[in-house]
Parts: sequence; C-alpha cells; structure tokens
Amino acid sequence: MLDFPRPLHQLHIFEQDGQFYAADLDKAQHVEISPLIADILRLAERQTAEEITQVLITDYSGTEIEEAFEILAEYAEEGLLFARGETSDVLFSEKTDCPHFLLLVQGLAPDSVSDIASTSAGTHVALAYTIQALKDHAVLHFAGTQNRKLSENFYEVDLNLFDIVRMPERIASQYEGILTIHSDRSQEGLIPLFRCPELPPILMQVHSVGGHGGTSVRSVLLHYAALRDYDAFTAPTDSVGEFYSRFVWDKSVFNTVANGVDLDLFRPMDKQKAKNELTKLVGDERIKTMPTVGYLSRLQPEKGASIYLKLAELNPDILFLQAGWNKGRYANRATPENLIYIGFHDREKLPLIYNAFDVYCFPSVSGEETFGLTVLEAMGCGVPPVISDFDGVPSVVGDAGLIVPAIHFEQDITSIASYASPLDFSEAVNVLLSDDSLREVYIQKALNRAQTFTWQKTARRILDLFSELNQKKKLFSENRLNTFFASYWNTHEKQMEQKSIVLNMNSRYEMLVNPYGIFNQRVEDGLVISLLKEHTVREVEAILSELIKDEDTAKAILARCYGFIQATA
Amino acid sequence: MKVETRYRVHEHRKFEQTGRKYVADLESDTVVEINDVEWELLDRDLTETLYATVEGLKSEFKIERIFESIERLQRLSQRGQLLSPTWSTYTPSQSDGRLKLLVPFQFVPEKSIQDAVTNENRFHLLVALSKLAELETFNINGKSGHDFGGLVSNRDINVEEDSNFWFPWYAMDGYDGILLLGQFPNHDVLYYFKNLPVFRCLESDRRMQDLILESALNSYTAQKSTDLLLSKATWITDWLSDYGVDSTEIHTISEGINVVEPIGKELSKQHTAELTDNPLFAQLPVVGIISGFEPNAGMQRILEIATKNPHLAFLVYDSILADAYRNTLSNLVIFSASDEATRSVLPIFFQALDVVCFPAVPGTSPSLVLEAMAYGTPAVVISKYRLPSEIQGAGVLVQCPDGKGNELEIPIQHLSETINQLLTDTERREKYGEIAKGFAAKYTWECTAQEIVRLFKQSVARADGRCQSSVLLSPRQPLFCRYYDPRTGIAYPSVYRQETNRFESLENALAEVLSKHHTPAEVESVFKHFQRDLFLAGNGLNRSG
Repeated sequence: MLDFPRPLHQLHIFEQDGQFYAADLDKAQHVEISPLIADILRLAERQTAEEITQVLITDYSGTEIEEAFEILAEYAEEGLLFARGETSDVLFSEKTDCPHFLLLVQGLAPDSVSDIASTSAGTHVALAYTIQALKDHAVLHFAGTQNRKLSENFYEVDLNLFDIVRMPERIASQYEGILTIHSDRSQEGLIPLFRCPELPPILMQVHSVGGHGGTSVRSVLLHYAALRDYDAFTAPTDSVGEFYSRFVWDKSVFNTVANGVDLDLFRPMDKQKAKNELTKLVGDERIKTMPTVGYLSRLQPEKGASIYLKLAELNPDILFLQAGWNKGRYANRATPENLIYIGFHDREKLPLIYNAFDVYCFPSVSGEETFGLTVLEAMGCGVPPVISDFDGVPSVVGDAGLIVPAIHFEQDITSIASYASPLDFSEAVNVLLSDDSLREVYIQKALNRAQTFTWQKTARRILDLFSELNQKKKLFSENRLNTFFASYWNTHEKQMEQKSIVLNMNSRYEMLVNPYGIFNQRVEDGLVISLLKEHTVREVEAILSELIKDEDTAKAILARCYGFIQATA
Repeated sequence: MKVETRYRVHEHRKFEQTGRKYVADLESDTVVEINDVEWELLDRDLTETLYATVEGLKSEFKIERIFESIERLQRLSQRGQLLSPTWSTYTPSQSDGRLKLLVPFQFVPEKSIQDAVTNENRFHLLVALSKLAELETFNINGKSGHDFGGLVSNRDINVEEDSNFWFPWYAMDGYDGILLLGQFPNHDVLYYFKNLPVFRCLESDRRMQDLILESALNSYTAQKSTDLLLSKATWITDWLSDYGVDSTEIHTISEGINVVEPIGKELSKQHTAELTDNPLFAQLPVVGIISGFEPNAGMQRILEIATKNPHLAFLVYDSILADAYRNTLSNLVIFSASDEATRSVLPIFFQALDVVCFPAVPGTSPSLVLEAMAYGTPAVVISKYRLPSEIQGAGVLVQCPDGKGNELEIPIQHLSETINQLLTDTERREKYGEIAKGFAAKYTWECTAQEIVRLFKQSVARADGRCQSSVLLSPRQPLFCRYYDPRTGIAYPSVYRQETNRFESLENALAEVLSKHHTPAEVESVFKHFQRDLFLAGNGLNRSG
C-alpha cells in the first residue's frame, strides 16, 4: 500500500475518446487510467490515503478505491507517476554555472562510489576518487533508482538506460556529457545510448583489455563501432589504445586519462613504526625484523599468485606479505612459511600496510592491468615497486621502480595474457633489498613520481575531453547526400564495371557544389557515403576492412568521403 | 535510390504544460516534448509530399526549422514514435481524370549536339501528348525556348535567386508522373526520388551514344518498380540487354512518323538529282542508307559498298559524316537534316529510294527508317539479332557476327549481294513495299502518345496502395563491428544484431541496410563490384516487390 500524500512526477491527465490517460512527463511515457485513478492522482500530493478515500467514497465503492491504490502501487514500483525520492525539479533547482554530467554505471549502486573509505575494487576506487574530484568543478547526477542528494554537487537521479534513450533531447538539454564505465557483463552494454544522435557526448572508461575469454575485447570492439563522432573512450594509460590499435584504425578515440593517488592518505611514514604497527595488527613478529615485500591483491592465478608464491619459495630470508579479500584457491594449500596473508583491511589502514613494505611487488599476469592503482599508492607511501613489463603499469612506474621482462601473449589464454619469470622478479627484489642506498634512490623517485598523479588532474582531463567532444558535436553535420550505384561499359577495358554516382542535390533539395547534376565516383566512395547516413564512421571502417584488402586505400576512401560530407553540409 | 518516405501520424494528444509543448503518442505509449513547428506538422496530413508540407508551413517558419523538425519526427519514427511509414494513397491531380505530367525540356539551339529530327520528333510527341494529358514544363531562369501555343504550360522557376531549392524540388507539386525526354542525361536521375512514376525516353542519337548508354544504365538502376525506360525501337532494347538491362524493364514505343503526300518515285528521283546536283540519282537504282555506323569505321563501310556497286546510287543519311564528306564517290551523297530547310527535303530523298538499308544499332534513327519505308520502300536490315519487329514483312535480314553496338562486324559482301538480289526481285520488292506503305497509318504520334498515357495510368494505379519496401528490414539497425575470436586472436569484420544478441555475417546485413536507400539493382551492382555473393531471394531483393 502506498503512503499518501506522495509527490508526483509532472503529470498531464487527459481524456480522449472516453479513455483517461496520465502522461508522465518525467518518464516520457503515458498510461491508460480509470476515472477513479485520475481522481486519486489529483488528490495524491495533498491528502492521506484515508482522506482520499473519504473524498471519493461518495462516487466509488471502497473495493474500487482499494483496487485503484493497488494499481497505483504497481505503477510506483515501475517508477511511473510517482517521484521516487525528491521531485526531479529539486535536482535542477540549484542555479549554478557548473556543467552537469550524468554518470551511468550499469550494475553499480551510487552508494558504492559515494564513500571512498568502504570501496575496494580498483575500478570503483578510481571512480569514487574521480567523482570526488569532479564535484569541485561540476554537478554530477548518478543514474539510479531515486532522486536524492548524495553529497555536495553529487545526486542520484531516477533514470535508467531506457529512460535516457526514450528522452534523449531532454537529457541533452540537462547534461553536457554522459560518463560511463565499460562493462563486459552484457555484450550489448550501452549500445542503445550510442544510437541516439541527440544525446550529449559519451565518455566511456575502459579499464580492461584482454582477459575474460575474449568477451572484454569483443565488447569494447562493439562499443568502438557504435561510437558517434562526438564520443570517446578513456583509459588510464596508453596501453589500452595501443592494444586496440591492433584491431582498429582509429586509435585517437582512446584517450588517456591517468588515475590519481590520494597523497593526503598515501604518504610515507616511519618504516619501522609501520612494521611494528602491522606486527600488532597481524600478530607475526617477523614483520618487525625481516625485509618485507608486499602485494595487495586477490590471491588468484591471473593476479600473479603463482609467481608470488614461487618468489617466496626462492627467498626464504625475505618476508612476503599479501593483503586482499581472501587466499582464494590457495587457502587450502601449503604456502611457504615466509608468505603471510595479512587479510582484508579498510582503506584507512592501507597506508600503514604499504609503509610496512620495503618493496612492493606487482606480478599480475591478467590482461586487465591497465594502470595498477595499488602500485601508485605504494609509491605514494615511498615504497619502490617491482613490476613486470606488461600492460599499462610500466608507464605509471616510469623510472621509479624496477621492471622485469615479461612474455606478452599474442592472444589471451583464459584470463592470462602475460608471464614473467619468478627468477627475474627475485633478482629485482634482491637488487633493491640488498642495496640500501639504491633503494633510497628509488624511494625518492617513487615519491616524486607519485606527486605527478593527482585526481584533480584526472577530473580536469575529463572536463577537457567533454569540452572537446561538445565542440565536435556542435560541428557535426548530418549526412544528407544522395548516392546511387549503376553499371557502366568501360570502353577501354571492354567490360561492364560498376560505379557510384553522387547527386549534386542533397535530401533537402539543395544544390551541393556547382550546376552539374551528377558525379561519377568509385563504388567504394558511394558505398561509404551511403552507409554514413545511418552508420558510424567506425562501422563503415569494419565494412571496408572486409571489402578492401589494402588498408591504406580503405582509410583514404573513408577519410575523403567523411571530409566530403562535412564540406558539403 | 529509393523514394521519399511518407508517414501516417499516430493517434495522439497534444497539450501544453508549464509553457512547454508535448504530444502523447497513444500508439507507442510515449510522451514527447515538441517544438512549435512539430506541433503544426502533427496537424498536417504527412502522406502529402514533402513539397506540400514545406510550402504549407514556410510562411510561418523558416525553411531550415521546418526541415529540422521533419527530420526529428523521422528519427522518432525510426524509434516507433509518433509516425509510421506508409504509402501515400494516390489522388489524381486533375478532377477530370486527365493526367498531369511534368515534362522537363528546353528547346534551345542545340545543333552541335542533336539534329533537327530529334527536336522535331520531341515537338510532335508533346503536341500529341498534350491532347491526352496536361503537360507542364519548367521555365528555369527564363530559358525555355519554345512556345507550344498553350499546349504545354510553362512554370517559371528561378533556381539561382530562390537558392533554397534546386529545380527537382518543384517536381513534387501536383503531378501524376514525370516524362523525361532524355535531353538532360546528367540531370534526369535527380527526378527519381519522387513517389511519382518516372518514364525516361531513350534517345538514339549517335553523337551522344556513350552518354546515352551511361545515362540509360543510371536510370535503370535508379528506377523503382513504377518507372519505365521507353525505347523507340526494338534494336535499342536489344542493345541495352547486351549491357545487362532486363528487357522487361524497357517498353518499346515506336515514334510517330512524318509522311507527306507522295509525288511519285520518278519525279522524286529527278528532284533528288537536282538537289544533289548528281544526275546519277535520276538514272540508277537508288539505295538509301540510314546510317547508325560508328563514324570512322562507318565511312569505310559506306565507301566500300558504294565502290563495290558502281551501278547503284547511294543516298546516305548520316548526321555526323554529312559535313565532312561532301565529294567522295560519284555515286554517293551523304546528307543530314541539321535544320528545318534540310529536313524539308527528306521526303523527296526518301521517295527516290528503291531499297533502304540500315544497321539495327542504337545510332540508327527509328523514325527516319520507318519514314523512308513508308513511301513503299523495302528494307535490307543489318542486324545481330533478327529482323526488327517494327518492319516485319517489309524487309530482309543480313545477319551480323557477334559484337556489341557499334563494334558489330558488318558483312559488306553479304549486304551488297542482298541489296542487289532485292533490286532484281521486283515481285518481292513490291510485296515488301506494300507492307511498308502501311507504316504511315501504323506509326502515328497519336498512337505513341496514347501508349505513353496508357502506361502512365497503369503505373499510377500500381503505385497506389503499394508497400514501400520489398525488403523485410530488421526492427533495429544492425551494428557493423569487428568480432574478436579468442581462438585465433583475430578480430573479424562482422555485424551485431541487438535483437538477437548475436554476431552474424556481414554480407546479408550490408544488403539489408543498402536496401533501405537503394534499389535491388543498385545493391546488386555493389555486390558485383566487390565480387560478393548476393543471395537475392534470401534478402527479398527483387524488382517486382
């Protein structure tokens, strides 16, 4: 049973041909309603259910009124007619010069990114920090299931993917961009969004490349094809664009937006003090006295668990610490004596844990290490890292750590995309641990390099990208050209050939360039121009890559046709 | 090219709230915020032409805003909102049932391109048509050069000043069909966007032969199922078949012929001898050749046959060679009809002929062949295929070896023998001549005009109530992409279908999306170019649909 009084969406109730309708302007939908429901809706915002019943009982039976309340409860459940949380006008009531952006992250509740302290997954941590930094410059609306304020400049709004697709013009009038995160959970992902030319620019963060049995790559390639001229991907390092440039022509849609590090939280402490504190926390005295190597991760093969375990076996005089949710499949296996699982700890404890490490080791072999946020956090705490030469992490570390060679797999096997030898890791770890002055050099380099990564930079880069994409949207021209295809007799070759013809008249019956009626072109040109009416440049790229063997030729055709469309718009 | 889509407006309710305009679409259960132009558009009958819609609103709104609003409604329609594509119901433009046809043409001095015969024939056709249908032509920027005494009305259009639209825009305004005379091969295809039937006449002018072939092939692929190519002779139809045009898509309608009161063969021969200043034409049997030969090789053939037959006088109609070859052999005169004066002597020349000979190739003027024969002259026909049906019973065939168009290998020896045999066989010549005399009554401009109007009415009736697309299109646009195969590590071009959440082969989807904007012949052309299989039946791509 619904509680009344209850805020309504903006409604318009009307009767047509004897049937009542309620047009829900907030959801861009309407429903057929009974005269009784129309009467209830007129009273719903001011009166209690009892009062409504009292008013209406003279015209309707008690049972009828009860049934009507039940029907309304179903509509409310679907998110129709009634405001969930605040009314939508409250969300836009703040008069501000700040741009508004919509955050759409499928499968993620806004609460899981509104409180950084309780967030653990790297992607979510990065998103939470990004939101925190963006809020200084913009108002963020997180597409969720109700309207409410989460924090200053950060709101949850009652919008789902279908709402957005149903009212793209309104979304465009309210938001200057849509920020999303790529997820390969569903193949289709956010494709419907990209099919709406009216929607504002969409920035999709890509945090993974290989792995997941190819589903990730497949899904990113699908979204790549769907990108409109004014959409783009972001990735935390150049490695993502480099990875996908193997498959696609336009690497420029992959924009590097580096993550930051919270240097207020992740800062150096007195190492011995940290080790003592961690000893208390974990209850293993060896931490106080032995050299330590640490790793924050799930203990799983794709995260390099096997390498890490072998590394511990190779170095019995070094203590290897591992923090994470659990020990995974290694929980029931005998692990080396010098490997200590220190458990999962809240984010506020992480600086202490990092500071207790002498060296940070990051042996992940999965295809989705596009950044390595824990490496940067360790560096912020003045812990020199040892990493493998794979994916995006080396570009984060730069010269502030040791990088061991890794085999890059040409293609993933399950979720594993590389491998580095534990012997190479061992050598690098021992180089750092055996030479205090060298380690000190790397500690300083790590601290200095970490300073260059800030979440404010991340936020500003996102804002700049949205600004660029909005410029592109403004400049974007509809393709109104008319083409057709025909055969012709090639008198030199003495054979029938095919051609395309571009008409010197667009679909608005305007002459394009000069008074000639038609222009004979190659079939390829006509095909590209025709397809670009309803398909993206990157879709046409996929088609040309199938039809034209020479990639340079195909790229040149696509470039000139696109240019022609823009030039004659 | 596919024609413009017309729309049916869904049952809806418009309303204003807090200063904004909305429409509730009662068929799709959606509510859409609309602007003032869209508000007005939804009140209109959107099965009307785009022209009518824009013209109806342009006094209230800027043209650009009208188009933007129409385009927005079209996008909404693609999402199933507010409008559904429909086929407009045909409403005759004239209450008396007469067709109103747009006939774009321009009679300006064009001797350098076409001869007087072509222009004269167009004139006769329009006069005859104007008795059966209402004709209108565009007077673009005041350049119309012919007064038809009110038979064809002129519509003044200034495309330079009124720069919003180019002239094909105006073709949507209340016509039942468009008849293209073939005068503007580069512009004709611009008219194929219309929902109206478009008929295009195929010229037989040798000077423009390459262009005629090219533009005929353009029209062929551009035309929708209610359009037709009109050929003036069966040999033009056969010629186009050689280039892949389906002959069922071409309708052969012979031109009318212009025959004067006969003055008798002897007198004609004397006049011809005087006019050509060559007494041989009064003394020897006269053989006419209505030349359709390729000019260079053609001259060699003409000289060869005239040299082989010094006992015959040859009168050759050749609009290209006439000026260049005035004094060649004593028994040979080449003439043309480049103006009204030279045109006026053709009946005298034709009546002087004992046999007329022509290669049934596209450059051979059909009306002149029939005109020459109509005075009772039998024909010797050089043909790759067969005796053209137009002259059935009035001529003999000299079969050619294979070859295309002007590249036909002409068997001069065989031709020469056939001409001589026919000249010596008086009985056969007279029998053929009798049949040929009937041509004057058979090939009239009235018949030509009646047939054109009949075909237009047939097409108009077919257009009424027809489904717009023969292709069953998926409800959602396929997404062309690359499919990553983890087994090979390669990303293959593919297509993703949202409705089934599957990746499929690219070819079928490509055929499907091209079919939205292009005719089946065009899609076939694209697939031929890339040497890809197009499963026509599987895609429902057929011309008759």
